Formats: sequence, structure tokens, C-alpha cells
Amino acid sequence: MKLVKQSLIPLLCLVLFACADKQPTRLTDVTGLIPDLEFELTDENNKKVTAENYLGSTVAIFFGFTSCPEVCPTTMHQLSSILSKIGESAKSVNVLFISVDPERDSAENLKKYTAVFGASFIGLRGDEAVIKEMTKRYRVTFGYGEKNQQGDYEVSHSGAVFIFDTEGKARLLATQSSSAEDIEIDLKNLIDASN
Amino acid sequence: MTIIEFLTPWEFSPALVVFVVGLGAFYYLGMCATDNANKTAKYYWQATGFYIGLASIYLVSHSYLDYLSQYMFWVHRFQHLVLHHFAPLLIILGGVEIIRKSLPRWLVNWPALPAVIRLPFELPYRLIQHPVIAPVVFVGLIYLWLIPDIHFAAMLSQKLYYLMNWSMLIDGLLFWWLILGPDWKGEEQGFSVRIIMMLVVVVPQQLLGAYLTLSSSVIYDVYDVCGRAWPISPMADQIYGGIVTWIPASMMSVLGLVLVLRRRLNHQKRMENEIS
Repeated sequence: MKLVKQSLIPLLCLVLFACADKQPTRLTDVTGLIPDLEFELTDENNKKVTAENYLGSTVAIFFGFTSCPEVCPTTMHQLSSILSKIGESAKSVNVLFISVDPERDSAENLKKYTAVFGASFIGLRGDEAVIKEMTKRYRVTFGYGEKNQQGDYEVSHSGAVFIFDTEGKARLLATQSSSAEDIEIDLKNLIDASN
Repeated sequence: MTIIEFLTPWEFSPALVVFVVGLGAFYYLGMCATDNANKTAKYYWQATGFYIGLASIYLVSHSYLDYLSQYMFWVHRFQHLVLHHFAPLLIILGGVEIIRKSLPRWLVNWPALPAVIRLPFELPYRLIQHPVIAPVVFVGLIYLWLIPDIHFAAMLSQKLYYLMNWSMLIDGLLFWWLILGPDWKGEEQGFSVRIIMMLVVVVPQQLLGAYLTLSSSVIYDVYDVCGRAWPISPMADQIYGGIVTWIPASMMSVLGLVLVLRRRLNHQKRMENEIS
């Protein structure tokens, strides 16, 4: 009996520590399922940037376009208000708004667009083929509709927000149906865990 | 889009290439063997059907259509229509008699093998081909991969996506082999079982198709999460997908029914001719 107790206690500790190491998340936990953050694009100041430039901060990426009528502005406003609710510790978060419409989204347009949501928001752009490769890595896509007489066209794109930790490892997936509360709690936990 | 761009695989799959090229080559060898045995043998229709079936598997799994199937619900439904109904039906109808001639000798003499080797393969095979289980698996797989949470995971994970498509293809081949394979020449025994199996699979497919088409809300949000291949409203995508599941899929099953009836009638005619 004593032997059983002696062996049970370390085992129990092990289980508890294993649990403490990995908290259950409210959003979809994509640790190990989705590739690490990796890209070579240009930012809204026309500077070449890679994923390494953002190591050390928690990163959220979203594939959108500035003339997007609904999904993009809603998602960006939601993220912006979540970041301000989290407060001081959220200052280290970068939200990368990656344009899937490089033809219309110039660096200047992107800069104007992201300025609305706050300093954490950075617009990135690249050639269509480069963006396509990047979306493929994360198993999402985008596409264009027919141009109308004014030259405008619709764009289909992913509504997902991929969240990476400070080491560039994919951790969380928020979708259009995720609640602001869930994103806030999980994002805060992730930031706290890496501090 | 050029033809080369269209044919470039979205995600290269060695297993699929081996499968398609291997099956195609076996069939070719079978044709050569048939010619050697009988110079006047005619099998153009069989060969055409077989190769159309095989090519359609390749096209929906290893070309731009594969990309579209991952990012558009209705194209995904079309992909499964080909993998589960259209291609296996054509391959079984056109392939069986010919391909049998190029099989290795040990496979032709399968019943002569010792039971230790045979049973591990035969028992699961007999189970899955049981007249009650086969239709349940056939329809069950369609339903299974369309459960919203499972569908979400399958579209987001490459491994599950492959598992989904291979399971549909293999089950399609097994099911149509059971219905239209050469084990049944049209004799009385087995006729009603086949008719009942075909009727049993038609109705649930129609119900599912109708449910998808007539549903008033978007059931599968993974296409919003991952983005669609081109701008189309989620409802329109779902309605088209529902129609593909509803009409052509159940039509294929009705076609199977007609083929079973035809084989039965041909058999009866042959028997009458022999008697008279």
C-alpha cells in the first residue's frame, strides 16, 4: 500500500503540472496544427519586413483588404477594443493586416486604414503570388469577382484571425463566430504566459 | 488560366499518382492480355469508361479542381460526387473483366492460399460488404463527413482532408463492386438484395440534399473562416452544394438501379434462349 502511495504522488504531481502547463482555451487551440509565422512582405512604410521583425511580441494576423465593406472593419474594431480592454500588457501585441488586394491597397492606403485602429495595427502587402503562397500555408484563400464599370470588384477572403506567441508559434484561431469575451480572455492569458 | 496551370496539382500527392498510374497500367496490361487471348475481342466501351473514370479521379483530386474543392462547398460536393459515385461506377463497369487478366497469379488463385493469409483480409471485407452494412457505410460516410464539426476539421487539416477523400473513393469502389461487380451475373439469387440496397441508399441522399438546399441558415462556416475561391454568397454556395448532393448523386444511384435491372433482364433472356 505504501508503495502504491509513494508512486501515486509523483504521478499525480506530473499530471497536475502537465495540466498547468497547458490551459484549456476558449478559442480553437491550434498549437502544432498550423505552421509557424513566416513571411517576407513590405509594410505600410514600404519597408521590407519578415516574421523575425515581430518575434518577441504576440502577433495576430488577418487577411483582408481596405475596401472591404463589412468583415474586415468589424474584425479590426473588435480587436482594437479588445486590446484597449486588456490595457497596458496589450501594448506589445502587433496586429498584422495583410492585404489580399495588392492592386488597390497601396502602402499609403494601408497606413491610413490601420491608423484608425491604433498603433498596434500594421498593414502589410506583397505580390498576389506571394500572398497566395502565404495563405496556402495557413490553409485559407482569397479570390476576386468580376470588375464592374467603375473598375470595382468584390474580394472573397478568410475571416479568421491567427494568433501567434512571442516565438512565432501558432497558438489560437479566432473566427467570425468567436465572441469578443473569449478572444479577450485567451489573448490575455497568452500575453501573460509569455511575460 | 492555361491548361498547364489548371493541371498543376494544388498539393502534390504521391499516393494518388501511384494509385492512378498503377491502375491505368494494370488495365493496359489487361488489354494486351485480352488481345493475345482473342484477336477479335471488342472492349472499346469498357476501356473508354474505365479511363474516363480514372481520369476524373485524377482531375478532381490533383488539379485546380482540388483547390476549388477546398474553398467552395459546392465544388467539394461535386468532388465527392465524382469520387464516390461517378468514377467508381465507371471503373467497375469498364474495368473488372479486363483488369482481372493482368492480375498476378497468386491473386487470381486467392482461394487456394492458406487461411492464415486469407482470413485477415477476407473477414473485414466480408463484414463491410455485408448487404446490411454496405449501404449503411455508403450513406453513413456521406453523412459523417458532413457533420459540421467534422467537416470543419477535415477542411482545416490536410491529413483529415486526405482521409476523407480516400475513404470516399475506396468505399465507392467497394460499394459499386458489390452492386455491379462480376460476382453477380444477373441470377435470381442476389437480385432483390441489390435492388433493396440501391433503394435504401437513394432516399437518405435525397433527404440530405434537400436539407442542405432548403436550409435557411449557413451550416458550414469553415468556408467563411478559410475564405472562398471567389466571391459568392454563403447561402448560394450551400444551395448549389445541396443540389449537387440531391439531384446528380441520387440520379447516379437510380442509374445503378437501372443497371441492376438490365443485368437481370439480360440474364433472363440468355436463360430463355438456352432453354428454347
